[in-house]
Amino acid sequence: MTKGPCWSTPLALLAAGALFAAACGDDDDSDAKTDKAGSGDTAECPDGDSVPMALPYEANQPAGENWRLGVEMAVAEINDDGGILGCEIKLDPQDTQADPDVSRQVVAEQVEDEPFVFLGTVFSSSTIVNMVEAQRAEIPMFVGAEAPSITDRKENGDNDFIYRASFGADTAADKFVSYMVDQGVKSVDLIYKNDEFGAGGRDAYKAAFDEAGIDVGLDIQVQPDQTDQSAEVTQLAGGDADAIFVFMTEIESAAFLDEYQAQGLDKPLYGGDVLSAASTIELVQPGAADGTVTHAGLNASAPVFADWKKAYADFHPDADPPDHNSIKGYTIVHVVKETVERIGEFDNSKFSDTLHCATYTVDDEPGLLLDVSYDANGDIDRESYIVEVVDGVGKIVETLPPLDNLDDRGC
Amino acid sequence: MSTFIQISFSGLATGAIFALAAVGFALLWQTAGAINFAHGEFIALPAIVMLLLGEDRPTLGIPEWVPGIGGTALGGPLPELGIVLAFVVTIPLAVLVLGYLFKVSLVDRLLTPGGNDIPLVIASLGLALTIREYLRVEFGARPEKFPSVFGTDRWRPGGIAISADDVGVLVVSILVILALQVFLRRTFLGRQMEAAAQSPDTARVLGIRVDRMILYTFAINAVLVTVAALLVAPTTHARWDAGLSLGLVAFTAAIIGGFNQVRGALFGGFLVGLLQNWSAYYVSSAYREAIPLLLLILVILWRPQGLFGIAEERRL
Repeated sequence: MTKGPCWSTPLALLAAGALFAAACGDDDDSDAKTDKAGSGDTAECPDGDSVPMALPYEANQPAGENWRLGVEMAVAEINDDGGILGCEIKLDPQDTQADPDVSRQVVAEQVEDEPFVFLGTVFSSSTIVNMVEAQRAEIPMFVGAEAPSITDRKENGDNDFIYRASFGADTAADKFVSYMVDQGVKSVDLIYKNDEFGAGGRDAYKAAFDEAGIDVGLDIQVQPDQTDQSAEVTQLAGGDADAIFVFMTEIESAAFLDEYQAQGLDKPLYGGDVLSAASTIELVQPGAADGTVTHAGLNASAPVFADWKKAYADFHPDADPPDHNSIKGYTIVHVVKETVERIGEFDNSKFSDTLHCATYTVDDEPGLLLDVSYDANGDIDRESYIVEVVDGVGKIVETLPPLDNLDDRGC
Repeated sequence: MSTFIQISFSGLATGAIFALAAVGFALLWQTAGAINFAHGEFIALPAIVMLLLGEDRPTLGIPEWVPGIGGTALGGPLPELGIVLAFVVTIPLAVLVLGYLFKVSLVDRLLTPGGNDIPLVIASLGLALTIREYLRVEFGARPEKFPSVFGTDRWRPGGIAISADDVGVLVVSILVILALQVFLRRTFLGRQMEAAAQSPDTARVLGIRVDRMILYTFAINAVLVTVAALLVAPTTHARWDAGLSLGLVAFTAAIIGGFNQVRGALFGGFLVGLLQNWSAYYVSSAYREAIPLLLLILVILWRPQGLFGIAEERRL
């Protein structure tokens, strides 16, 4: 990954100019924000002239691959721009094979190299296992996983070093269930994938449904990689709820949508962001995904990501179009950059004090793409989207504002 | 009643694919005494090749000026024709690679008549891993949609949802298996193969070229896995790890039905497909995979040769 985006050269020249100015002692930084080091500032790098970052990821899964591509794009841009506080980011990508045990082994080995931060993993079932190693080594870990238990301090041993790149399912549930109530949904049947991701999402949404007064009827699980869901959809056909809520990953979501269409069911379908993701839609029969309504924390079709998508296509010309995991990977590197610049030095023990209960804006760091807040547990808050699939394309029908409730979330 | 028919029909369609895959296990065991744990990957590989022949010829190094045999595979006016042509081209490739090369490079070297078959089992596990990782590295981790050769039509007679794909899979699987049975039982060559499988020494005395018969079996197995790939890929999608679960289920089905009888493996495939759906609906979807495995344990305990298998004795 050595190729940079088309704007990399001018950015590099700007960065070189800034470094030159700093080197000449012309440190006129009076306009910079008081809580952030200027872009031309430098600091002692953790490893020579670079800062090592570990990238454990699921190379055998599209989610992990897209995460890596997003991370690598951000790192290349930042390095072209002079790095973080003058230090070049050096990535150590390691394949965890989407296997929890392997992922723990990989992270434990990467700990030995003393990375400044961990960027990954994406799979909840892996993250829940490997984050213990980063916590033990007191190294901040930024993950794309969404299972609620990951940032639950009662379950994660009061982990002060874990941060999300996207909504946890519980935060997403708070936002989406309010929307569903507004749509007049009074009861739902649930179907979910039986793994850490799906079961965690099911628990979070069930709690949110209970709190919102939405009755939950059928509660059905499918197994990972289960492509024949006829029996489960037949069960749903016998349910009497207003709507059906689906929480699975791509393969299972596609199989579900095809069977749902085949059996001619027509109840409203709501779900987690994967249900309407482009990577799901392209696997289903024509029209099978139409009408599904989902909550998307990040959706590549949002207008705010239009320029970024073009830059991504230039940077990764042979890759598939980006999805939410690509955006997660890209933005999280910029969260790290912004945090380090606010600290003013490479001291990862100060991440908790700096990032917890903080709000970063795109004015501070354009690479964030959206303003983002972190609560006291490492969960994020930012705007999100209601996506409806129309004619095989996910369209944003509403933008939900941030919850803006850090006071209620330990801050 | 319509619910029972609905889930039974879907179970049979899924079971037909399990049956095709399970028959491959039984064939190789019968004729060569070989267990191939890369069987699932042997199904995943042709699916990806067919897709590449259909839409991504540069990846295979095929020059642009060569007419695209499957250029319409994914969205042209005749998508079914494109994938059928890709299938026809894949058959000889599969016979060469998954039949001939597999036999001469691995099976012949590791399997000794009446000897220890553990080295081949281990080697096939390694082969499965190698194929999976190769597919992932070379073609990517992202699943790709694979068009159904039977189209996307759907009907609802009597409130029962039936898709053209389900009907096509069921009919083609049954026809292929019937054709295989007729070939083995009613043709001279087929009977020679059966004889070679049942008693190689006697077959040699009778002038049957046993090695050639075994090679034919591997070739037939290669054709079967390619057919299975064509039928299963629209459901599982073309992806690097599609063979993992399919291979395990087919192996389970073959043991339940009877590893040493084609009809046993066939029955096992259909039974597992039906059991999965009945379990999911009438018990709980949490037990969809557990109940066939429970049956597997019961069969191993009380009828280790399988429900339709024949008890074998081995002289030590």
